[in-house]
Amino acid sequence: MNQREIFEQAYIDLADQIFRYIYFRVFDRDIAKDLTQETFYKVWDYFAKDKEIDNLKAFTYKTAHNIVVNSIRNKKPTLSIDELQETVGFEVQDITQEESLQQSHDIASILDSFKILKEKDAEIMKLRYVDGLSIQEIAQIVSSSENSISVKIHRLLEKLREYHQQT
Amino acid sequence: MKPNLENLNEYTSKASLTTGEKLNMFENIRAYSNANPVKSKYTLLFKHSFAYASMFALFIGTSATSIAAEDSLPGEILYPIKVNFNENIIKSLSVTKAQKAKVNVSLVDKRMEELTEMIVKEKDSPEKIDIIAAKLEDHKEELKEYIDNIESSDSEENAQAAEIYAELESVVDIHLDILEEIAENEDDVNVDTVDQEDEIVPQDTPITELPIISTSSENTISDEDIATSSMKFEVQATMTLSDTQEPELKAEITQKVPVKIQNIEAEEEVNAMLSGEEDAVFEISNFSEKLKPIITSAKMKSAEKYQATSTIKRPDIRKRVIETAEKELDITIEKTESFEIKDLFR
Repeated sequence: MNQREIFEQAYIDLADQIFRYIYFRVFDRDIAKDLTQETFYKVWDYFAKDKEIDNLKAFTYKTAHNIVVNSIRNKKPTLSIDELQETVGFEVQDITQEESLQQSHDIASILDSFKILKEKDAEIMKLRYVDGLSIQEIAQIVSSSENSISVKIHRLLEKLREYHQQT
Repeated sequence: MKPNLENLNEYTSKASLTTGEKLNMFENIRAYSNANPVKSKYTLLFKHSFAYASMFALFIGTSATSIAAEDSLPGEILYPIKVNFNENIIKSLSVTKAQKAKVNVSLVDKRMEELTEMIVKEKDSPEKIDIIAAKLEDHKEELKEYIDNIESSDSEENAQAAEIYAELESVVDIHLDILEEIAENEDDVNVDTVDQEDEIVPQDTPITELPIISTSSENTISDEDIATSSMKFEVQATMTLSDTQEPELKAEITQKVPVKIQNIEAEEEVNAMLSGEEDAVFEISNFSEKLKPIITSAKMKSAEKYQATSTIKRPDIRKRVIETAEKELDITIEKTESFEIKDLFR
């Protein structure tokens, strides 16, 4: 496989995941689409320089992270339930409008509870539970050991549980 | 089922791009990757290797030629490259008017060096000297333009104008000294060569042209002695010959005398200038005048190698001059084919 084939395969595999990663950080479908495209441009730039990429998935997530950080530096994204409902319940046919709205509220409240965590910790929890990445993948993305990530997640879960019990 | 942290991903994974959005984005990304192809470290090196190689060869070739051309003299194949290519590059590299003027001074220096080299190597001919004279005139015109520009601008550049004058003056003076020395040495070596003084009165030359040529002696310091001695001779000859009342010879001498009188006047002027009595400011126009005699004399010397014409070589006149001199000065002169007037005073 040449560079282009590797890259295009990576796009097919990762486009949705990267889009999701960005969407749950900017909470705007259109902006998320634009930033997803930008992420893949940046990844290709790296390919074009003929540089070695150890772990393409982790590398793409890292790139997406940098792009998101840059784009939301000036304004804090606000979560809109309607927007969330539209995006998350988009292709779901077997639930009613009310159920869909309730789900979106629940998701929003979970994401909202991450605010009590430090920014870096919240990022790890999002990678684990929103993006559904494995411990190993998270370790690669945040450049840490699997062990420390799993310990950290364990502690953060306790913390969140305590918070939910209080409210 | 209610969303919680454990099953959150089941819900969030529903957030995805539509197939249309995905395809559309794929097209964009492919277009982007086509526009920015992979630049391999190796392809980068070899892709344009032919272009680089030919550029390199051209560069080497051009620079070799222009370096070789630097030593060329007028009449040689590479000389036009030197004056038209190399020197235009040097000119175009200078930015300010003062720099451009200085470049022209250095080119004057070069031209005069070439003139000297040509004479020393005996590669001179009137045509080649003409080439140099024309070039010198070009440099002078250009220099004049820049100097005028500089002088009409602010005071800071005015100071530079004086500097350029000084530079030009020293360049011209040095080369004139060298050329005169060469002329003197040549005269010593080639006794057969007709003295420069003799050339002053070429046969059938209209008198109006004479002062121009005579200035060559006023500027040539080394020839001063010769000039003085020949003048003494002329004055004496005039006095003696006028007694003899020979009409033909008298006519010849009277033709010579005004020239010499002018010569004396000119010499006085030069002396006055040297002693600082007159304002000896170096001017661009002076520059031309200063160069004129040396170029004229060099040209004439050169021309002489091809065809020697001189009044003194006319057998009848020479015979009479010698006879009169022998009679008046009470000496014997060897009757060689040509002789030096200064020989009379040995």
